[in-house]
Amino acid sequence: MKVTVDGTEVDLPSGTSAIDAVFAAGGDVPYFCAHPYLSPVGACRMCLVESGSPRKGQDGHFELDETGQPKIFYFPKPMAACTMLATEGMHIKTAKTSPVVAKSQAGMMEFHLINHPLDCPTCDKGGACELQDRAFEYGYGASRFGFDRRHADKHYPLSDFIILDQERCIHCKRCVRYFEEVPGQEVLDFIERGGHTFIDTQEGGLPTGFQGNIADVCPVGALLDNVARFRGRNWEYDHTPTTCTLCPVGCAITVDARNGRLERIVGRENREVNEQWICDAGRFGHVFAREGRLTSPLIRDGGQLRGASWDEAIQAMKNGLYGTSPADIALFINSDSTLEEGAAVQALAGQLGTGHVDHWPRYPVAVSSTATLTDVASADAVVVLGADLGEEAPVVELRILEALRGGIIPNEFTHGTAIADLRLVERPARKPERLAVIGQPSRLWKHAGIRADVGGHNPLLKLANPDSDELRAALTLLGRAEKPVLILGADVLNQASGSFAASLSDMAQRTGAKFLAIAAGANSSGLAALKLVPQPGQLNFSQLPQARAAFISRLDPRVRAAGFTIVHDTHLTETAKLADVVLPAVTNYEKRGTTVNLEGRFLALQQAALSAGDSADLIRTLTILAEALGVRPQVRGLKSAQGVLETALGFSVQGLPERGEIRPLAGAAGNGATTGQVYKPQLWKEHMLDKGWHTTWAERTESLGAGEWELPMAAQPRHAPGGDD
Amino acid sequence: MNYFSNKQPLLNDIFSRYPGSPQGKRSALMPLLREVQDAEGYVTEDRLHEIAALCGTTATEVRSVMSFYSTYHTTPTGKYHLQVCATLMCALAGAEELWDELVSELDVQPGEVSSDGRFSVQKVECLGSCGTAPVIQLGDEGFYENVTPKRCRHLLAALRADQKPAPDNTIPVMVNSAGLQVTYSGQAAGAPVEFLRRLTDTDLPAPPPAGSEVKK
Repeated sequence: MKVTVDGTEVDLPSGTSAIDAVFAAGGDVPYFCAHPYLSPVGACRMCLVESGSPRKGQDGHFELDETGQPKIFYFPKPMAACTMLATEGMHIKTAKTSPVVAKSQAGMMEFHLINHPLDCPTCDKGGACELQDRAFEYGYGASRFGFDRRHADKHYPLSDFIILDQERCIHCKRCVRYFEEVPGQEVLDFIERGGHTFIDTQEGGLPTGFQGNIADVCPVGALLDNVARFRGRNWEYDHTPTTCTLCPVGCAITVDARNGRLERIVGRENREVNEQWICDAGRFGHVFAREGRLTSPLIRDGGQLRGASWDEAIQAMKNGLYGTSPADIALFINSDSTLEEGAAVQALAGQLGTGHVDHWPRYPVAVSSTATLTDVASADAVVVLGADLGEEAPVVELRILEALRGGIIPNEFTHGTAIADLRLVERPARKPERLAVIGQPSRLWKHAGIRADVGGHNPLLKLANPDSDELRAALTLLGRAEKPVLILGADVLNQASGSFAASLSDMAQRTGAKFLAIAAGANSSGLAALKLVPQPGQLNFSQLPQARAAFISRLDPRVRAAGFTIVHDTHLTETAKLADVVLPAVTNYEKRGTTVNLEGRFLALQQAALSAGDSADLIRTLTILAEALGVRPQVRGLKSAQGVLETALGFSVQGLPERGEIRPLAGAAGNGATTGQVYKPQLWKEHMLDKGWHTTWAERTESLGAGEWELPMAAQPRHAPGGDD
Repeated sequence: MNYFSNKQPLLNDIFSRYPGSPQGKRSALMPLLREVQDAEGYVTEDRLHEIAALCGTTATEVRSVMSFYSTYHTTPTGKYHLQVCATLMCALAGAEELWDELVSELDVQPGEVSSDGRFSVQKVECLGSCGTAPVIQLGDEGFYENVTPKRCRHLLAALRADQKPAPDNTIPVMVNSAGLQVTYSGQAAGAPVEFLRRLTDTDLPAPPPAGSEVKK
């Protein structure tokens, strides 16, 4: 399909909207209401363009103009480009070539600013505001409307986390559409009409889970992240694009720090992982990273922990470990540690000759997923087995809901994701019959057509040997579907016994389903591939009290080892209080490295500009431990860790593409290594909720951590399939 | 106490007008609001939630629809509910002055009822009587047209004495108790619900000619 934009001809796939045609041709059109992952509605009228098409005469041939070219019949008035389909031979004129368009866009901007307060100097959005930028680029710079502006509530809390400034709202409806279309919760809507319209909810607040995303989609400063409100201007923040490591999804985020303090986290686009959305825990659960941090080592002196220098800490470790065989030192790390850190642990363990190596949380098996998140979003049947996605991997829930509303993933162009994909419609008809949830009741139940509560039984075995109508229906659903996906959660993976792999591959073969196993920790599949699990006869993490000496990194089991205990953590946790030496750690926001998400996708972490005193990451801390033990470590920094990794994995983790890359992993390495305890997934980790560290937000954050705020309509699940409009 | 809990036949009647699908059920929102508004004079928050549950939607959406139309009220109105059109034509013809006159004369603000319980006032969007601007609508009864401040004072004096002057014009179209759109004289306006059928039906009866009498 050939479309001409401002005289430039571009070749585009059919179905492209006019706004994407303009951007594909390198042009520019201002817009506020269109959003790549929301339905185009043409609410703001900013993307006006002149457009026209050739027309065929009665003889079946194109009508020609004087020069012999097909004559272009223009629409009599400018059209909104976001809701208009580009067609073969269409000509589009933007403000660059059409004075009519330039004038109408400037006029529309004048209308948008009639009631906008223009309090940019005190607005958190200032400097990163679409309205501000577009007014500068396309507006007149002055207004002919001299009357009073609308006055409304400027500090209206929609919830503890989102503050609405009703005066700033330009009625683009992105937030309303977001809640309706993405998490499927119709909680926001326009109230009143005309110039008096404002956004409000009648449900007593916003549902927890994914409410923070409306602060990202708001094109003006109307919806603001209350945690970050008034904490900095956009140009003062150091923006660091990195990966979230709260759960194994690995959402793309931007960490904004100011003066060395983490102030804000916003979602970043990764089409193949989180599209544009992140969960509330990932967005608001960062206060711990700036409050109550350990900034120097602590050593036990006369029974009490006291602050010390690293040199003193090394001496204390030397003294404490004197007489302990290096092979008896257990090394336990958190499974959100990076691959590089895992490689350092592996290398040091090899040098010390210890096999007491473990990462936690993990399951007894490490399953390599065969499905990607894009597979989930475009599946025609999804069966969730024993997973509470709200606690394990919230964004997977959004991708499942995406599949239920048709699995339409917006097209991609050279300018990025389609700004307005016309296949996305408002109030999409949902297909709950495509989703079966087997296991304990969870937030996803109200969206599922088939639900089976199997109590404490293994959902996978129950599905393989169905004994109820719901289970049989789920099996039929899988069998009939063309692109079915199985999602395996904690209740399946915790119970995974020796025959697990066989029964899983049997199920996959029987139904042709791909499966997505939700790993326990952010990087537990990567660390399992590095064989950071105890071999039979060696201590696992639950056997910590038996260890003759232990080094524990960012884990809080609330017990200490029998012998000398070194804790490496960001805060003075209960475990740290029991330790002999406490070494300050950095959070995952302050690390460079690589993590492997639940699909097996390698994603890069970048270091945000946070100040954390003398804190050190795991690689440096292990070199210090090695020094105390009189060993020259093989891994002394990121580069040498990546070298070790390349040997272990067979490929380099440097220079990963921005979206990450799925690479095959030797996942079976972790199989059979018993954990000795059951992992209960928890999205809001203990340290994110601890009142001792951050009093301001702790109580409010608790309400998010507690999770289930039910919508009134949730009491009446919609069983009827589809819709009639 | 739920308003609709003992009105199952009425509910059946209202829902029978729309498809039974989730989206179709939402269409019953306006008639249900109308029912409550007519019976109680205004719609409370409890009723919003009740209607939301009946339609399978959220109270937010019910409030959104309700707040769009000035005919539904969230607070009780006076015996004479005066609605001043404030849209362009009336505004140009002096609706602002009329409003100021009304408010200062009655000493009420929108959402309030005058101390004698007679009056409440509201600014509304276009009433479709631009040729006779400015316009005041009294309740659901009719328009007072070309209302100058002087005419306004006369109107208020008459209403204070409970001697309601005949409106200059009736409201063009209203909804009768059967849920049908009719003109003031009882003539059918628009397509009566009883003749609506799914488009796939072959036994589509010919609609009656416009303006014919509809049973009330």
